[in-house]
Amino acid sequence: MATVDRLRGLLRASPGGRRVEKLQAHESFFTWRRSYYLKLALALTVAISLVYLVHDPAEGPSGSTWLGYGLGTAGAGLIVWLSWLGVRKRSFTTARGPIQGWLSAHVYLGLLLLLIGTLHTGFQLGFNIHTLAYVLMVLVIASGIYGAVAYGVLPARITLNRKGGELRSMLVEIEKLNDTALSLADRIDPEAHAVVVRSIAKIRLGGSAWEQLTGRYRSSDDARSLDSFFAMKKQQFGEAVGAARARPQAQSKPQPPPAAGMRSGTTMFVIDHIFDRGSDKAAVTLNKLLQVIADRKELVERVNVDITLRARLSVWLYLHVPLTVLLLVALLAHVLSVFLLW
Amino acid sequence: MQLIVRVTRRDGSVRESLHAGATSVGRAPINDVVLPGLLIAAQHLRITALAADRLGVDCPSSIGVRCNDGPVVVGQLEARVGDRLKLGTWQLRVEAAERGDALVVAISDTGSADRASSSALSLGESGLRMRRPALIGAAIVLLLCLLLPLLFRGLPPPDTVSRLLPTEHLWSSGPLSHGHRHLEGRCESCHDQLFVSVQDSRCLSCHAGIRHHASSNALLKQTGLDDASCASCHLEHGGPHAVLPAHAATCTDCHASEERSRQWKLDGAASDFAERHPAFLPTVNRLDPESGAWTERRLEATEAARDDSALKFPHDLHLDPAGIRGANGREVLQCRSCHQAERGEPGFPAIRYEAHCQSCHELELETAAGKLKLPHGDLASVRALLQPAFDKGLLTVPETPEASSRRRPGEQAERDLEARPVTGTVDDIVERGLCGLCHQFSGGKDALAELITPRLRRNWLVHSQFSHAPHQWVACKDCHAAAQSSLSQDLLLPPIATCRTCHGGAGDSHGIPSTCIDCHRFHQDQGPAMGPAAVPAPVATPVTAPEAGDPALPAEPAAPEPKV
Repeated sequence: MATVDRLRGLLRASPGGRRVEKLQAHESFFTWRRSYYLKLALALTVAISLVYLVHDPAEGPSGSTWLGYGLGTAGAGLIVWLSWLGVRKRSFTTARGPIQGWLSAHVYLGLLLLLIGTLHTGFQLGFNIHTLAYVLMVLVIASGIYGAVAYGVLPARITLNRKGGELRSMLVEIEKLNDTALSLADRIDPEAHAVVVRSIAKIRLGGSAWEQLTGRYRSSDDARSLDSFFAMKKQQFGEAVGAARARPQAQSKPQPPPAAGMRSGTTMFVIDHIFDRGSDKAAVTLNKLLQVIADRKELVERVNVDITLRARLSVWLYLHVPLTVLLLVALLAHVLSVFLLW
Repeated sequence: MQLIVRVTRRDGSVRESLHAGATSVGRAPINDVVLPGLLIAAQHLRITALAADRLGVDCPSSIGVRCNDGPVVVGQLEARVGDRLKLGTWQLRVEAAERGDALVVAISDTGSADRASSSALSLGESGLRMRRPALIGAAIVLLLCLLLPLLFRGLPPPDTVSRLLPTEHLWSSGPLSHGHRHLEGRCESCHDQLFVSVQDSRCLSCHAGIRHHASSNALLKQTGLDDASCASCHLEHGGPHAVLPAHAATCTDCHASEERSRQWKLDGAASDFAERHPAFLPTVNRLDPESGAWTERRLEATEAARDDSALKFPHDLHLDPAGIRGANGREVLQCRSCHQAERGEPGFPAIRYEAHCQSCHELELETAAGKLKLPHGDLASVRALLQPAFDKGLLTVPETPEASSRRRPGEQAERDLEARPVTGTVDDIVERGLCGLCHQFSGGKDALAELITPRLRRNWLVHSQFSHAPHQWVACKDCHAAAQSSLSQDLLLPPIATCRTCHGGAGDSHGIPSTCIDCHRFHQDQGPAMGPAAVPAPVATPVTAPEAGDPALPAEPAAPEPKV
């Protein structure tokens, strides 16, 4: 059942997923029409494997036996047909069946193609155009397998990370928090304002393809400027900080993990002592400012996680699509060269 | 030097002001130029026109200012005409004024803040592309794998180029067999026409004169082999030995059929050496003892394995483990004492009197007048030498042939002319006492005896090729029951069962996997040549040198005319 839920999440997150959901609820391309294409692919796998095992050509298994030519023709046809899906899915509302059916066929017959292509070679590989076509086919299928797995796993995590929101609303929220922080900082003093302006300038959302995929984004200098801000505030509320040092650690609020929460820990320290000194208006503003900055930081991190998950969800296409074009050309060269030197 | 500040707001309104000396820019109303927006400090910049093309900038705010996408600067800097300063959402552009003594600073609201948040939010925004790499890659594959090889086929490049750039060798589906390795990379040697499969004429340009599988064009037509091309059996580009049609199906497509075997008068159908292969039917020599005429024929399955040679040679006697009387006393003969393999020869060289017999069987005759030495191979001279001694009565005619006297008791006598009557001539000596020991004579009881020139076959299984070389580790007696053979007519060939003790079928995992071509050849020594069926069948060429294992060879004499 978990798989079904996951697949449902997948549908929700996939491009055009909502439309698909409206068209045919509770049915993903994996299990389309009671896994019709899965069963078809499995049946063909068994049948082709049996024929291959029984077939005993005089020259050994290769692409030039009747079975080799047959598998080659079927494989080439499948490659062209599966590639057509790339064009076809751009207009998936046409009358020729829903997109899940096409996608289901694409996934399962694409996997079947791995068997057909491999048996077509007769395991005769070398440094030539024929093997190039085979290697490209394997790469396309491998990237496709990654894509299918990614669509099965990542959408649920994306949904979880977004907490019901959307990326656009999260970006708008960051803008709002920036504005709020600026107006709060402006009420404290010019230096606090300058610190916040600098921190806004240094917010980094997303990054290079490598950063997006690894999820390790180059750290902005945001932390350092805010630290200097706190240093200034410490100086301003020096007495309060000094008094706080004398207080037992247990009285401070629960500390987040040290690595992530050093700054917010410091923040809480400062806030505590501002309140200790009474309802200082500037201190209340500062409290609000720090809360806003903490919220913004959490949001920025979530946006970056979202970017990473979406990058990992779509990266395979940047291999799958260009490699498919290469495969089609290599396939043409493969077929032509076979008949050129017949 | 005056400074003209032109502020363009987002609503399109433009306000121009003229300033002299330092001009303050900031959010606070106190500034000379007020720029709203929380990203601007209350007092952000002080700008001064230093010259007609230089603007002095002082940024007291720790927010700083960025010039031309450079680092954020706090403090003083100098901007020139064309430089851009970024200040929150505002951009200040230094421009030359129409008047010589002024400098223009055009300030406009870009709407977007100067910050890193405009980073790539997706892989597409980070610069990853699909279409461009696809098109470039496709063009490279098309060029390197199809167009260049095609071009180089039409215009053969120099070696240096073909070593670096792909040629049609890239289209090769696999390595060539050992025999054709020297043609690697020279595709046109065989593939002389594009889109046309390799023609037999290309093969026959080197393999000229190679013959077909049947003895006549009519038979070829009947078997359907007349239009078989070389490539029907010889498949290239499949590895070192691919060109040898080792797969049984190449032959058994036809030979597994009982019906076809009957139709083509073959010994029987064969599909696997271990499981289904007809018994060996040797081709033997037959001698008519009366006339001395030779015939050659294949044995029937039910017939006793007998091969006439016109020699008397009991193997059992010569291989007596107790030894026999030799030139230097008793000696124990081995098979190799006479059958000595020669390097490079598939079988054994012919038995010769001088090499193999003479040391024991010297042609010396004891007479009352002393020893008489006789030549081998010249019966007329022998008769001439004997005649004077016979006339003088120095020679005595043996009662029975000497061979019979050497026979051990209880053993079957050599089939001989024992019944021939004594003629009272020198021939009695020749037939009974001398040559008759080993040689057979023709002629009936009343006719004049003539020595029959022996014929020792070197091959009895004419449709196969057998070599002793790979079998040398097997003891002779494992296959040949020579020690039990008392007659030279005994054909000491092993039956197929003996071969099967070691040799299995093509796919056998127990015995030595043996395919059809391990023993049989497709291309015959005689008959129509390979190639277009229209070519008339060539006349069978006589074979000049006797070859062991040569299926088409007629019986060969073992030694040149051993007349005694």
